[in-house]
Amino acid sequence: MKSIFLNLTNMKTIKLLFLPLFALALFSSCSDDDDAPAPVNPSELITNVEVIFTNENDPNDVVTLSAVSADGIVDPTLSVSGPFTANADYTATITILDDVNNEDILEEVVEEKDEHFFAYAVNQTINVLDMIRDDSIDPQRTDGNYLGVETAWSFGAASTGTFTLQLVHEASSVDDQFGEPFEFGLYTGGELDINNTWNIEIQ
Amino acid sequence: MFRYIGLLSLAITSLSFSQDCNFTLLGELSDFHDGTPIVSATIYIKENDRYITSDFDGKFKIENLCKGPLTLTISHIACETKTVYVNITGDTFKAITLEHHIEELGEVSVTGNSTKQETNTAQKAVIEVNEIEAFSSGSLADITRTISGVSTLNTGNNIVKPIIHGLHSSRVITMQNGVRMQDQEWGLEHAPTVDVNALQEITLVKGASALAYSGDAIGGAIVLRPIKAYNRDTLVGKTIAVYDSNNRGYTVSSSLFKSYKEGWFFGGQGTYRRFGDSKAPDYVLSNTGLDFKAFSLQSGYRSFEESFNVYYSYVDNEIGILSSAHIGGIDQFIESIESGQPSTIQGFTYDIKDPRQRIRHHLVKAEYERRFSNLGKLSIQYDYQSNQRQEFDRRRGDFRGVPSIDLLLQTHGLQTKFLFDSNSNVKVQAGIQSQYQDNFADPATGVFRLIPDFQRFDIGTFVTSEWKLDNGYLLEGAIRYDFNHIDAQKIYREFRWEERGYDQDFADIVVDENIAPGQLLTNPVYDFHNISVAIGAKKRIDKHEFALNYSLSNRAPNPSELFSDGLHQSVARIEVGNLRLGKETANQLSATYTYQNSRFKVLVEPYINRIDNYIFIAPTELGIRIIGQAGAFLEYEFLGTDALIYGVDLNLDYLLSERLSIKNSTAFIIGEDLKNNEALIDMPPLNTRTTIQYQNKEWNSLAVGLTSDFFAMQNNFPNYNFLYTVPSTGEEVLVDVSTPPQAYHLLHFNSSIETKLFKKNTLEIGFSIQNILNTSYRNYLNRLRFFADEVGRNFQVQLKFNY
Repeated sequence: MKSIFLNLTNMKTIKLLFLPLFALALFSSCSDDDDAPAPVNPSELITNVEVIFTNENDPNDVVTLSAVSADGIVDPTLSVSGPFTANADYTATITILDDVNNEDILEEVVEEKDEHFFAYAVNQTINVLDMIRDDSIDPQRTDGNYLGVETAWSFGAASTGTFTLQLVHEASSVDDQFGEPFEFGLYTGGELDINNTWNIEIQ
Repeated sequence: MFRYIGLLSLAITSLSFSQDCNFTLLGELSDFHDGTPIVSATIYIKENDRYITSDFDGKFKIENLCKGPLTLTISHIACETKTVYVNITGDTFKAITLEHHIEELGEVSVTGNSTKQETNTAQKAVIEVNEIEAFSSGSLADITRTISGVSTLNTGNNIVKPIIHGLHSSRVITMQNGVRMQDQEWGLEHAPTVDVNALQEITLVKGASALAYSGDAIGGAIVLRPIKAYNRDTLVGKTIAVYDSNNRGYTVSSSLFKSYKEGWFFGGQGTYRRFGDSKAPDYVLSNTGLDFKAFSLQSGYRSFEESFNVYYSYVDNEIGILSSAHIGGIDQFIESIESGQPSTIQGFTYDIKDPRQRIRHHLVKAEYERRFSNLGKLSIQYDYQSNQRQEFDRRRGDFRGVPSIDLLLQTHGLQTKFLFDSNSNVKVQAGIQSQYQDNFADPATGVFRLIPDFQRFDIGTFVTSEWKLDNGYLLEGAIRYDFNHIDAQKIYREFRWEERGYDQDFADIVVDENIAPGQLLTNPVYDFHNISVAIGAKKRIDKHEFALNYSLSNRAPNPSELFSDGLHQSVARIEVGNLRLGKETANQLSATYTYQNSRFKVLVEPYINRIDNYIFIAPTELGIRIIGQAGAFLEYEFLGTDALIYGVDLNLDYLLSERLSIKNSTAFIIGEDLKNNEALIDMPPLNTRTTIQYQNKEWNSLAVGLTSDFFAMQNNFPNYNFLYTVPSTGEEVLVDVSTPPQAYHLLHFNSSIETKLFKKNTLEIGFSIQNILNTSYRNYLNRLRFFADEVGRNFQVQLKFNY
């Protein structure tokens, strides 16, 4: 009796059906690389931020606001070295470090000043009278705005409140002259690389 | 299995002994869709090597036949070629239906058969090439959205993925020319890497019944068939050019196919598309351009007995992400919600800056098919895919221009199938599929891997069957077994490892406790065994047709759900995976009722789907996490629950006159979180679409239509809102991440005419307007809805040249 199904070609064919099973064995045998993936060394980290105020009339009167995030990822620890002196003028400067990769981030920020901008804010309860960007030493962006690394501050009567430092990256526009009340510097768009708020006191 | 095949073939061959040769076969050919007779079709009788043609009523007669099997190959200029086996045991009458494919003249059966694999009793819809061409400058999801019950999940306006009955991403599979797309479809902002201009037909199966493709497509399957070569001595092609006013975008797509009588064919197709920034009614959506390049090549040989083909396609897609969505933390997010408009609005440009995505996808496929008379068809297929996904954020210093995410996913697949179709009343298909996948996350990004390195093995085997009973019932049954093995190498940061309690529950998977300071290497391994089942029945009574379908399916959690860990800068949120997730198990029941007479058609499709361990992403309890010096960011995590999803899709079609028709499709869906007793997040709202269309063949095939699109507000949503104290002001703010946007209504216009240019060439000119009233609205299922309105009015001109 002739049966198409039982001839040799067809038997071979049916075996072919199980090809994927053998292929899987092949896949698993030749692809088993157990190499551990290389750990990523996180970049662009900001571990330490400081705003250092110096009394214009008393170089020993220094107030430092600092924020330290050990690996640049965890919630930073905020600290203030002491109170400001009432009715005094201070100059302020900023340091920004990546302690993990040992890099001076501020240097990069100044190099790419056209993409960066510092904005400051205080709340309503603290008597901060004025702030200006020191145009003699503060880096100036191509659009004419000053970056805001070097600033001068006038403090009023004794009071407590908050002080906020923001570093905005690639804002679509910035203005170093204006802001909402209690804000020094205005920006639209972009994203904040630094956004820290300290509780401060004027005595 | 072997025994069964053996018995079957014995039964068939044993009948061929007697030698009475005076029987007559009477055949009747009709159109599969409307039952009209098919006139002048060619019928090739293989056993006698003879050709005959059908008469004016679609009938044909073959006399002096011997007892035994008879193989008929029926071809017709406007239909797909079909092969039919008839067992002659006496005078026989045979009714044969053919499928119309107006654009694709006479495709041969060997490839044509693959279209019939989708299930018949489940809810499904087919989109033909002429409808696809209307979306020549759009995405796959823009096209499937025209089907009721299918909506879209957007990340801006250029990243769009389909949602079927509320389910998306890994729950909806895309089959591209017989290959399951492996394009990192797990991600919410990963749209299918497909060029719609390469497609001849899209079949969408709602629900998990298409087990020949996969057992884990809980939401459904989108089956794409590319444009193919003709089977005669021809050289054919077409070119489509589109201009969109809104984004000043242009699309050009061309295809050319050559085929020879002997059976060889070659073809190719390419598309270039360039969009600038889109515009919402009130402002430019900055950095929403697109640069899309794609081409595909195919070649092969086919005869009646065997065929083989090779196919290669490449897509290179660069997509701008809305600038204003790339923000810092929650303070800026709150500002964005409060101001109600994007924080960055710049002038129009074609430039695509960071943030952006670039995706490159290669797909190679080789397939061989062989037909065995009286038995069926064997096919063997190998495929390879390489998908590289790069996501660029705005970065500083040396990392400017370096991607933040750089993943390379490579997949090898091998599958064999056997289709037993010699008995026209019973069709059985069995197959085995295996797959090996490797994902590599490049550490050079300098950013923690969002998705880790992993390897994955899958093997699946299935049997599907279809039975036509004498009493008019069509029955389907399918069963499938799948094994998935995932072997990942994941580096955790210590704080995350401990915070999620993994140090308690998963201590055994730690490989290196200190691979880098504060980082530990783990080796999570997952094995899943899944059984899937689908059964269905269909019956036509006069003008009514009823179908019922039940399926059981399982889906293993995908790498993103298990392992995600990091900041998605382009949507300004942190996404955290969950090692404790189990597999999803879905039990679904769907029904279809169709009534059709010469003027009126109604289609009602209710469904209910119970999914255990349903995986979804939602804000964490705190809602936020502080990242280093940058402040607080929104934080989302993957969670599992038991879900019940049910709804109904409705389609009405009414022919007011020969030239005027009105159509409506409506979808309503409810999703319930059974564990937490609240609504499911991200369920599509009620929507209804009505189109009035005028057509006149005598006036250069003029077609004019007006469409109304209404989306209700989604009132069923879980509340994940939380309170947040803005550090700089001390103000406490309610962060509303939950409330869906208002309802909206859009009007669209379309028109087209066709002219003959030369003897064989036609030119079709189309003009359409989307969002005629330039309505400002936001879409609940757009992940960027917090930042900007949707796209406004668009004028579109399309030229299509057939040659």
